[in-house]
Amino acid sequence: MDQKQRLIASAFAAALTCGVALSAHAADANANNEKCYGIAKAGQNDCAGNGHACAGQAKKDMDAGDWKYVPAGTCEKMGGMTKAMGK
Amino acid sequence: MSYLDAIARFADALNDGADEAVPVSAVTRSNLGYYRGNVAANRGSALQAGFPTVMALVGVSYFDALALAYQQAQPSVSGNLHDDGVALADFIAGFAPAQSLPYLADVARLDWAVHRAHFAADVPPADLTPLQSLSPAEFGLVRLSLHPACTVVQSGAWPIHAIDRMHHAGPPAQLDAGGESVLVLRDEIHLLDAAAARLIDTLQQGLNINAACEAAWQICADFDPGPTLSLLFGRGLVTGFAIS
Repeated sequence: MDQKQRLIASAFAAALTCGVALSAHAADANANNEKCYGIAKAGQNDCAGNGHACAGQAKKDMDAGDWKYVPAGTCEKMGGMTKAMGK
Repeated sequence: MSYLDAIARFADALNDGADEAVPVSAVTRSNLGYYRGNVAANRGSALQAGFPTVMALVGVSYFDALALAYQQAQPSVSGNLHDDGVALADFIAGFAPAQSLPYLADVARLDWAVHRAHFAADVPPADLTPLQSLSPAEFGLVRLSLHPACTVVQSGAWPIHAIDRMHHAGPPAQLDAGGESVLVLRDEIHLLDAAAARLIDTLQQGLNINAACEAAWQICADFDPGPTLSLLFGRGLVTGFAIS
């Protein structure tokens, strides 16, 4: 048996040992989470998040002028910026 | 004109601004701009929710302008706003004003993976009992189906995990630290070494365990697949299997 076969054989033993032992636990965890997923981020698929029905009014004539493409967020905090921008 | 045709033309008019295509009254036509503005505002807010790291990196004004350009280039393809950002990472990669932020597309890929994992269907783990009777050689021929809330994101050049951590109270990322790969597990993000990422990615392409290990060994010759496979089996992420 070469080294690669040995690694796969030992992975096989380890994976099935913990996999069988934990799969029931994982199923329980899934059951507990079932009602939560999809709720935390809800609210994007309706207009309520925008406050009122004419939320888009202010954006009616919005254009994407070049002046808006000046990043003003956390990208400024990162090291290596100059180097990255030089690429 | 059928109702479906009318709705399709109305949607086209909202996308491209060609009011003349819509058979409506003059008053309604003059109000279409508001309707269009609401569509843009709702899509824009859905994109903000789906790409929080991208938005934090560039700021709200930049993101709004980016989102608007994306919307104009990419008409909505789904009635579900959660689907809207599917092409944003690729759009950013080709977006001229974003060329000074070359890591932004890969960060968008990570944001999208987290977003999709959050909403992915719940699938129970497979019953692994049949695998226990296999020989190690037969195990190498097994192909796995992995949980839909499990995704690998690989960046060849950028430290996407450090950038993500930075936006969750971590220290500022060092952009010249090199590429990173992550495993997105529902709402968890784990740093992966490149070989482990290749292993999982190859499994998700439908190849068997031997082939996935070989792909990982091409990246790192002494990679041990044990911990990665134990993670997949142990966390209940193996939802099906077949022997090829």
